[in-house]
Amino acid sequence: MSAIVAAIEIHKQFGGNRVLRGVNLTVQKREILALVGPNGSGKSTLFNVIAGALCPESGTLLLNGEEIFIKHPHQACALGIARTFQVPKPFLHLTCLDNVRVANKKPQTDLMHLLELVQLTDKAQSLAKHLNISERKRLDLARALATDPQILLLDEPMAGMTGAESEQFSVLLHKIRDHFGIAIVWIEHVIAAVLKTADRLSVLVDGKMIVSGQPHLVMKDARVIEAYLGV
Amino acid sequence: MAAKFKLNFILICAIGLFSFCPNFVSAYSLHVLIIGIYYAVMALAWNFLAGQAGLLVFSQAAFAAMGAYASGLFILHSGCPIWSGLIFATAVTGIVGALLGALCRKLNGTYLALVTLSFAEIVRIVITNEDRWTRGTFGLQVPGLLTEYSKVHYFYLFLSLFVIVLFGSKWIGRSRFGFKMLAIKDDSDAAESLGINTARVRTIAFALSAMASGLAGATYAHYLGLATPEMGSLGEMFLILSMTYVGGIGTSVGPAVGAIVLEVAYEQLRDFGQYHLLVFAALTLFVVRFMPAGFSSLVGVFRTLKKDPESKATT
Amino acid sequence: MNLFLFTLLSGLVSGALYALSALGVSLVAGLMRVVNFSHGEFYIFGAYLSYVFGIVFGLQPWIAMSIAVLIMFLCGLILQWILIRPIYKNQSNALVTTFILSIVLQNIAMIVFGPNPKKPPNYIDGVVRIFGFFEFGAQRLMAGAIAFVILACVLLLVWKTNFGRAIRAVAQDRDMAEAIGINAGWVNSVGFAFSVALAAAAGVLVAPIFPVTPNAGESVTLAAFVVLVFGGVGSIRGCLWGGLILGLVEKFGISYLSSMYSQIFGFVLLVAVLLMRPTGMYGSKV
Repeated sequence: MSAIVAAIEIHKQFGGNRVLRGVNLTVQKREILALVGPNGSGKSTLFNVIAGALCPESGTLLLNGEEIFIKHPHQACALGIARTFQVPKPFLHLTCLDNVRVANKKPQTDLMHLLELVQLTDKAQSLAKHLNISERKRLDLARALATDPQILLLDEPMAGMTGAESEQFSVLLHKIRDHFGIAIVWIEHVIAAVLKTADRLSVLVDGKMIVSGQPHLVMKDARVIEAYLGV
Repeated sequence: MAAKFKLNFILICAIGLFSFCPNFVSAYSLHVLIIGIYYAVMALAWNFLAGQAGLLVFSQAAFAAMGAYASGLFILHSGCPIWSGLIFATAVTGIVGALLGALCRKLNGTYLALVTLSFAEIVRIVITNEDRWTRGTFGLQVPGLLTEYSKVHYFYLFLSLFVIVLFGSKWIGRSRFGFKMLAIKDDSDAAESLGINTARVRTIAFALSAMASGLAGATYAHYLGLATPEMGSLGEMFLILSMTYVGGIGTSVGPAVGAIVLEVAYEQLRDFGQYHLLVFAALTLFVVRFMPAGFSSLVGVFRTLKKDPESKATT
Repeated sequence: MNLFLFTLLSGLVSGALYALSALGVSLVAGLMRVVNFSHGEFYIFGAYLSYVFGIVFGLQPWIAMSIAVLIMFLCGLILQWILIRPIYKNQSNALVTTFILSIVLQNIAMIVFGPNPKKPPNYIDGVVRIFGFFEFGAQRLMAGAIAFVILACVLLLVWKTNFGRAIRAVAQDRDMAEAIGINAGWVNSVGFAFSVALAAAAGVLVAPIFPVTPNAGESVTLAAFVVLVFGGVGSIRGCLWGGLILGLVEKFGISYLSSMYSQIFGFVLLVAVLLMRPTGMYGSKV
């Protein structure tokens, strides 16, 4: 198993509220893993733990088989864990190119190529504050890629996208997976997109991972149907 | 790119011309200009934190006072040569600045303002109360930097300091570090997630700003021959703040221009007697309320009117 | 033992007045996310007006004090309309603007009233014997008591009346409040004016004990900020506790540690609190 990232028995609570109750998650190289679950199941919290924005009460994080301890998000980034935000956070007063340049780690990276990938070449010299929401999401993505990550965490990137935009985005994700060979973990509510794009699907309910596997099979799983429709 | 070179060229010419001042002005005017340059350095140092990094601190003047007293006390009690006092002052303020920056690394907006303000007040109160060392409100008499007192020489000294701080802050602003400061200013969560160690950047920025102020304060005290607790008061902080805003916060030259112009204006307003500080403050209030980008914004408008396509590249 | 009790009472009285003073800042900060640097200047102007009506016009102390607070309330309405309303959305701008405003007001005070301390007439004279242990200024005791009463009234106002509900609604979510028919602009205006009046009230109560000078506002503002940080934005209970703690820490510090550094205790407290809890003890981030 060439798992890039493994989260083992992660517990996280806020005050008395136990959000993550022993979550296990593995992500392989060159894999698009979609993380779904009802609202409040802990998806964003899990994300934040892996990205270094939150510290779990207990549990282990492994990167390429080695245990890692992250206290600050910039450490996660240095280790190769990149993320985007649900509401895009571009640097509004910098140009798109500069946005990517700030994130860039390797001097020889072709920044324009990254912008090309997300189809923002014509906006390279525009200030980020002039971008619409779909463009901002793509800029976030380009920026995250510039940090030369091993794994990319995407927080509901398709929220608010039109059908056509989601299509384009799916294609983009596949391109990234194949071109860069990285793993992508993706929180999403738009199940249709997940079924089409993801290699694997993990379902988180009430702070516990209940099933993980091929998207179509998982969605037919009785436990998943119960979680979404039932109690 | 060309616009940037043009601006630097104009700047160097302007400074060059300015350096001929001593030949044409009276001793009193030279004194006013020296004070103006002091405030220009202070404004640039504050702008580094407030304008470029987005950290509105109220500790700037306190570091000037700290530098002044550090230098003075060091020289008076150690018997080392006078210039070593400046080095000592810069080192002390740099360390304390870094500590303050580390303390405040998670603070923003109001809380940052309050902590830095508290720091400033603590410094001022300690200086005032420990009069056995500092002679309290009487001020500490410090020896001059130059063996022979010459206003003209002091003018060039301050001008050199100003040039160093101006071009230093410009250079840093355009460096990778400067970009990181801008990123943190815009969105520190995003910056963190992209690998920028925000705590470290802020600490370093604080240290640099404090050192510039400390050095300026020490030089100023040696010029006047006196270090006073007033140097670190909120009133001084107000002057620095208003000069930066009127000149144009966030721009690279605006604060310096604002400082010199306002200092000269301040002296002219002395004729108004009691009212001059009021007029000054009211003017600043007007600018902050109606022209928050300062007078530099007018320059920007002027440039756009000239229809220069590269005018989009700001300083 | 005497010293301990004296210091305790002193601290409580002081604390109540600090709480009263900070209440205004907390209210505005919670309502409009604006931290008012010129708070202390409203305090001193309240005191100055009380002096004008009390000494210059020779009115009864209580009447002079009431008129002063009323006038400051009206001034608050005007100021809010001219200066605060346009800027409240931008936090940094608000900070700077109110800072400059405080300088302007300080200078006006200097020009109009001069640098010498001005003292409104006493509203009560003499001393009170506390349980036979020591004597305590009657006026100081009364000031503290009135401060407590005002605090209690404000607490009632905010929690039991419709206007109080409106204030809480706007503080939590301005847009939502407007959506259910509350005129947020009017609430803000009255809220700000009210906070100015509270500052003035603290001023008129304390000035007969500690006469005011144009620069006196600075330390009042800073003390209010310490309480604000300690008690959290918009929390009345926080103000009360914060004020009491500040008062007690300060007075005990003066009695047992050093009277020279009386001003420092508050600042050290503020820095310590913010380091431990960057959001203040009770409240949310500003």
